Amino acid sequence: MTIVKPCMIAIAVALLAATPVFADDGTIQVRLATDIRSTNNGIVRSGNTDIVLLHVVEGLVGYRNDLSVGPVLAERFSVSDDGLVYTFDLRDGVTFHNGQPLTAAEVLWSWNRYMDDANAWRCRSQLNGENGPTEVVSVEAPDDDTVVFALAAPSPLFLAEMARTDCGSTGILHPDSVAADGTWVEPVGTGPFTLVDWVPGQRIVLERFDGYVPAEGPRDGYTGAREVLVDRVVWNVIPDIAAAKAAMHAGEIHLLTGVAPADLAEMTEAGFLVASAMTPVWSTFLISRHDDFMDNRPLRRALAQALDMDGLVEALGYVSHNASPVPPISPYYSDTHARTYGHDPDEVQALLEEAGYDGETITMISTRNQPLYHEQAVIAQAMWRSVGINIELEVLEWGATLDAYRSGDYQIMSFAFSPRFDPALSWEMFSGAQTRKVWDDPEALALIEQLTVETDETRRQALSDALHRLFLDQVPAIGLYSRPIQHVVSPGLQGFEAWPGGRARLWGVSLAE
Amino acid sequence: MWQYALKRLLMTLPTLFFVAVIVFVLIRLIPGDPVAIMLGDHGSDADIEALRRQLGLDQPVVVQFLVWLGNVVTGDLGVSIMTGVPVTRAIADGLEVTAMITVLSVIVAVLVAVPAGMLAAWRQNTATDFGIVFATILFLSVPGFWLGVMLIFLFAVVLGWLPIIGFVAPSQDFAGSLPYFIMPVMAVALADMAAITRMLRAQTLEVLRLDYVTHARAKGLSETVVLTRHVFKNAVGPGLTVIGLILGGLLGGAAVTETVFTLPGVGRLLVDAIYERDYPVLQGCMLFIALIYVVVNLVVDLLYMVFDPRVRL
Repeated sequence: MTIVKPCMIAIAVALLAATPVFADDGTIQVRLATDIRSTNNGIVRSGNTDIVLLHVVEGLVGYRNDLSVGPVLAERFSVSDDGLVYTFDLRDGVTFHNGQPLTAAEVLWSWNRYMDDANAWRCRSQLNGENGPTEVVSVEAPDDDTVVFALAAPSPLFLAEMARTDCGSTGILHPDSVAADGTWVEPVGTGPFTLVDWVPGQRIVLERFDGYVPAEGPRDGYTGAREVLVDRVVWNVIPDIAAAKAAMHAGEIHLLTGVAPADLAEMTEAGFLVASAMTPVWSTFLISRHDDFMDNRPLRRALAQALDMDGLVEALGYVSHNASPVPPISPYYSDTHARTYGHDPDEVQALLEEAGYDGETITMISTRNQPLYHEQAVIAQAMWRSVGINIELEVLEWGATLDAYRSGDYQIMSFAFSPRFDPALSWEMFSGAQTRKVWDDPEALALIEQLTVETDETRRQALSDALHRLFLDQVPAIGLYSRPIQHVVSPGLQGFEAWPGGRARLWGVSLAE
Repeated sequence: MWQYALKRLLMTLPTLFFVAVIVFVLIRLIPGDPVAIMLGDHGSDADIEALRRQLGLDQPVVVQFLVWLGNVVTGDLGVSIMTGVPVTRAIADGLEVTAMITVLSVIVAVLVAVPAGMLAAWRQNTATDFGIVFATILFLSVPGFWLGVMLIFLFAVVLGWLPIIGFVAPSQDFAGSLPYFIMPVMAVALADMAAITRMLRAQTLEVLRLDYVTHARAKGLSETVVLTRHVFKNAVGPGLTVIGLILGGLLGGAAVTETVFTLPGVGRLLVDAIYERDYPVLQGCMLFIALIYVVVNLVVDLLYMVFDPRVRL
C-alpha cells in the first residue's frame, strides 16, 4: 500500500505532463507514409522526397493543372522557329534562401551539376540524347537574367523532361548547397519554404521563407503564385495508416496524403473532407512478351474482353475505366482514346477457342505492398474464372515484383505506372526493346518514335490516336483505369486542393481561426 | 569468472563472422534489387547500370563482401544505399529509441511479473491464482499491434492525454520524451509481463515443493521470509533466461510496436531496409542484433552466479 500510492501519483503526474497541447500555432501537420530519402533534390529521391523538397526548390518550369508546362523561375520562355533554341528569361526579385539573388550563373551551375555523371541524376540520360530524342548540346548565359538551351534536334519533350517532378523539376540551387569538395550539405533553393529540420524516420520541418516573391497569376499546378499563409509545415512520418487516422481524429494531423479508397468512407463519416483529382497514374495488367504461352493475340483479347471493367473499377472505389495510358485529363485524350475493349462474354468463348486455350493455368503476379495492385488482381481473377480462364495469383513483395517486372519473367503482372505528362512518355513507358517493356511491335515503336520528335500538336494527336487503336488490337497490356489521388483534409485546413500532378502543395493553404 | 567472460566474448567473433556471411549471402539470393527499387518503373537499363556502378553493386559479390568486411573491422558499417546516411549513425539513433522502450518495458514487466508469478504460485488453485493466470493468457493472446491501436484510441483519441506524433528523442529532452514512450511501453510490457509471470509461477511452484522450503517453514519462519529469502532467489534464476531472451529480442527491434507508435527504432530501420534491399543497413542491423544477443546472453549467464552460488563458470 505504501508503494502503490506514490506510484499512482507518479503515473497521474506523468499523464498530466504528457497531455499534448494542440493549439493552432500556424503549423500545418501533414502525414507522410514513408520518410524522404534525402534533402538532395532530384538526385537521392522518392515520391515523398519530391513532394517535400518541391516546396523548397523550384525549377525554371513546372506543370500546370492541364499537364502543360509553364514558367516557374522563368518569367517567360520562347522557342526559336526551328525548335532548337529555348530562351528563358529569369523572374526578377527572386532570391535564394541565403539571401543571394537568382542569376543565370546559378542556373548554369545547377545544370552542370545535374549533368555530371558522378551525381547519377535520373533524368540525365533523357536530356543528353542517350535515352530519347532530347539532347541539350549547350547551355549559355548571355546575361544575368537569361539562359539559353540549345538542342541537337527539335524535341516536344524538352520542357516536359525539365518539369518532371521525379527529376526534382530540375530545381535551381545555390552553390552553397554543396561543400567545397562537392558533397551535399542542404538545399539552398528559391522555394516558398526553407528546410529547417529533418529528423530521419520522424519529421521534416519547413518554415515560410519571408524573402519569397510569388509569381503572377493564380495557383496552377506548380506554376502561378505560391503564397504561403502559415508559419511552417511539419511532415510527419507515420507508416501505419491506423495510427495516421488516429492522429487525424486526435487533431494532431491536418492532412493525410494519398489515401486508399477503402479508408475514405470512415474518414468522411467522421467529418473530414476529401480532396481528389484525376492523375496520370495508370493501372494495368502487363502481359509479358517473353512468355511463349502469352504470345497469343486471341488469348490476350479474350483476357481483356472477359473483364467487366466498369464493375472492376467501381469495386475498387474509382470512377471510370480507361484503357489508354494517356489519361483523360490530357489534352490528347480524344474520343479514340476513350475507346475500350468491350465486355463480351460470348466473344470471349470464341476467342478462347481460336486461341486454342484449354484451361491451362495462367499465373498473375501481384503484391500486397501496393494494396490496389492486389485488389484489382483478385477482382479480375474472379471475372476470368467465371468465363473459364484459369488464373492463379502469385503474391510477391515489392522488391521481388520489380525484379520480375525488370526481367519480364512472368505471364501477367498487376501493376501501375507512375505519372507521365506527355503522350509520348505515356506510350513509351511500356514500349520498346528493353526487357521490362511489354510492347515491341515495330509499327507501334515507329509511331512512338515519331510522336517523340513531332512538335505539331495536330499530328501528335493523330499519332497518339493511331497508337491507341493498335494497342486495343494487339493487347500487349490491359489498361484498367487512371487513378485519382485522394487526400483526407481536416475541416480546419483551408484552400488545400488536389491536382493532377498528384503531389500535395501547401502554398495557398491556411489554418482556420 | 572474468576468464569465462573473456572467452565468451572471443567466441562472439566467429559467431558474428558467420552471421555476416549468412546475411550477406542470403539477402543477395532473394529476388529484389535496390537499384530497381530506387528507380521504380522509370529508368533505362543504362540508368540502372550507372547507378549500380555508383553504388559499387556492379562488383562481384565476393569483392563486395571483402570490401564490406574490411570496413566493418575498422568500425565502418558503410552508408545506406537509399539515404546515404552512415549505418552506424542510423543504428545509434534507432538504438536510443529501442533501448528506451526495451529497458522501460522490461523493468515494468519484471516489477509486476515477479511478485505476480510468485503470488500465483503461493496461492495456487485459488481465485488469485486463476485471476493472474487468466490475465497472462489474455495478454499473451492479444496481438501487439491491436493492443497498440487500442491504446492509441483510448489515450490519444478519446482521452487526448498522450501524443501520437511529434516524437522527442530522450537525448534531446528526457522528460519531454517520456510521454511518447508510455503507450509503446505498455503495449510491449504487457506481453512480456505475462511471459515472465508464467515462468516465475512455474519455477516458484517447483521450488515451494522442495525439502528446504518445508524445512524453513518447520523452523517457524514466516511465509514472507520463506518466499523472499528462500524461494525468490531459486525461482528467479531460470526466469533470467527468459528475461534475457526478451531483452535481446526487444533490443533487436520491436518492429511492430515501433511502426504502430511511429517510433524510429532499430526494428523499423531493419524492416524498411529489408523492403528496400538496403544492403548496408540490413547487414549492419543484423550484425548489431547478433552482437546484442551474444552480450545479453553472456550477462544472463554471469548473473546466474549471483542468484545461484552453485553455478560456477
